[in-house]
Amino acid sequence: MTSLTTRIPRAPRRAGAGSSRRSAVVRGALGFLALFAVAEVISRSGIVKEAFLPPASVVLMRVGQLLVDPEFLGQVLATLEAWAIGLGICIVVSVTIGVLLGSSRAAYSGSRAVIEFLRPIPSVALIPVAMLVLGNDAEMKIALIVFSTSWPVLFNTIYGMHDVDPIAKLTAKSFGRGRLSTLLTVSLPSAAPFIFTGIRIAASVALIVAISAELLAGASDGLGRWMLDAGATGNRPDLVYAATIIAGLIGLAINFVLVLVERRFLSWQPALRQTDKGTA
Amino acid sequence: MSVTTTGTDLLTIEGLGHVYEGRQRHEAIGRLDFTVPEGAFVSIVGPSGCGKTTMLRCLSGLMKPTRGTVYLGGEPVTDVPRDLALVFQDYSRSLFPWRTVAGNIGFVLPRGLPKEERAERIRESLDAVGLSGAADKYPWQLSGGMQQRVAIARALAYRPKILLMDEPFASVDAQTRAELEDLMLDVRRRFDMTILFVTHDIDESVYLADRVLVLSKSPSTIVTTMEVDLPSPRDQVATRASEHFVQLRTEIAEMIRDQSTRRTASGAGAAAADTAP
Repeated sequence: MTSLTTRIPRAPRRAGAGSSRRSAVVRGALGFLALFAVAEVISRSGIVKEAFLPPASVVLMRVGQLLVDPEFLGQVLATLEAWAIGLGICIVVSVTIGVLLGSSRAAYSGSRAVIEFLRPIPSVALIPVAMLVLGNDAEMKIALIVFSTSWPVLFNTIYGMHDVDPIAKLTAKSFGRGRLSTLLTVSLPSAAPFIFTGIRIAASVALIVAISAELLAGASDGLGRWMLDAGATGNRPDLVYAATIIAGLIGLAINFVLVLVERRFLSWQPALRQTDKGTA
Repeated sequence: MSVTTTGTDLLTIEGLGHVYEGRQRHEAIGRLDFTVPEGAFVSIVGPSGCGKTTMLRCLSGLMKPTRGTVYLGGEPVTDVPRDLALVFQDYSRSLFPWRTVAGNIGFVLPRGLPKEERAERIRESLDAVGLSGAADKYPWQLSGGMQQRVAIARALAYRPKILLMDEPFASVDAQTRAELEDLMLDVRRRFDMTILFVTHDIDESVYLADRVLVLSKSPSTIVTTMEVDLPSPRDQVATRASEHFVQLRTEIAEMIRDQSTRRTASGAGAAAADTAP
């Protein structure tokens, strides 16, 4: 429990596991260094023109500058705001509907055809409709995020509800719990790991959709809009590359936070269990 | 009859019968009539597939029987009664893996209970099953025998008048099983608990109970009722070695064997019914 990286070992650790972990980190760092060197050489030597691929050192410097640039950070915040609101609405709506559909076989089979029809529609294909109805402000982004992220959360909630052990529900009933109480204290906690997996998928999809919507619809603000301006109008490939890297870092950071949340609150699920038996 | 019973019947079963309708109609329970006196330890033993689980679900109000009535403390059971707790055979599925041991026990306590009283009742029931140190552990961190102890502690914390136990020790090893059997005798003594204990183990049924009901294969009926007048306290070695114990268990074993041979001889119809759920 000393640092974040050692908090929960995925597999039972044997002697020497620490050193193999360290060497894995070293190898990973070497891989990054090699990528950096290759990109730098390709650009500096003129194999690829600087206008297409700026030197890696320049891009990295731009990343550093952008991370302290208030104007840029404001745009990032606009994207993250749409991301958070969209994801929040998606969770509330999809979990509620998923719980209802997951509790009743009839409702599930009745709604399947509609869901299977709506689900394959690519969210990007809805951008024109969304723009037509909602303009190019945050509402448009949020609506697209909600539409595209609802599916993984909805399906995982339904599967999670179907997976609830009937004996667990029967146990609650035998101790006098009614249907609502059983739903809240047995079915929902039992389905929580499934739901959370859906939320993790949704979180990364939401970021993709937010930036795509900004890029394709020329939204009034956001990271995508900023990249559009830097590239097409400003003709600054170094800034576009730097912003792309930052977008990737945001995705990483979101996933990292969600993994921490999962390990903190859902550590009971079989995949994350730590039993004492390994040491016995 | 044992010394601890008061004579009044806590649980009365009248003409209980159950049929599973559907594509494969299956009559699980033929007709059951019996009583469980207050303070008694009654075992029900029968061959596998004799509708024991169905019977317990009907008694505990989880399922509505096709025929007959169950009375608990004189009142007919229509819904899940408050004064009854059920211990499931499958403890690992009956305990909630997302709750700690204390959380699992706390689940059955009244919601308005003050914090200190809640903690006290959890501690008390864990003490009763010899698991005082396990409150903060998760069930899946414990061995099978310990998990079943948690399930028993949870049932005790609910403070029922009667415990129904559905083959509770069927999936633990022999040593653990003997310990849990003695635990039940101890719990019964300490809490003056009335216990209805379903098992397929003949020795276990005799060792624990004041009275053993022998069930036939489904559609189940009571083949015989046997009073167990073995001295208390029972002892895993001495009681099981006593001549009287051996005589009782032999009688029951013969009766169950006769049941199964008779059924098999009666033709394919009965055999087909056995395979239905």
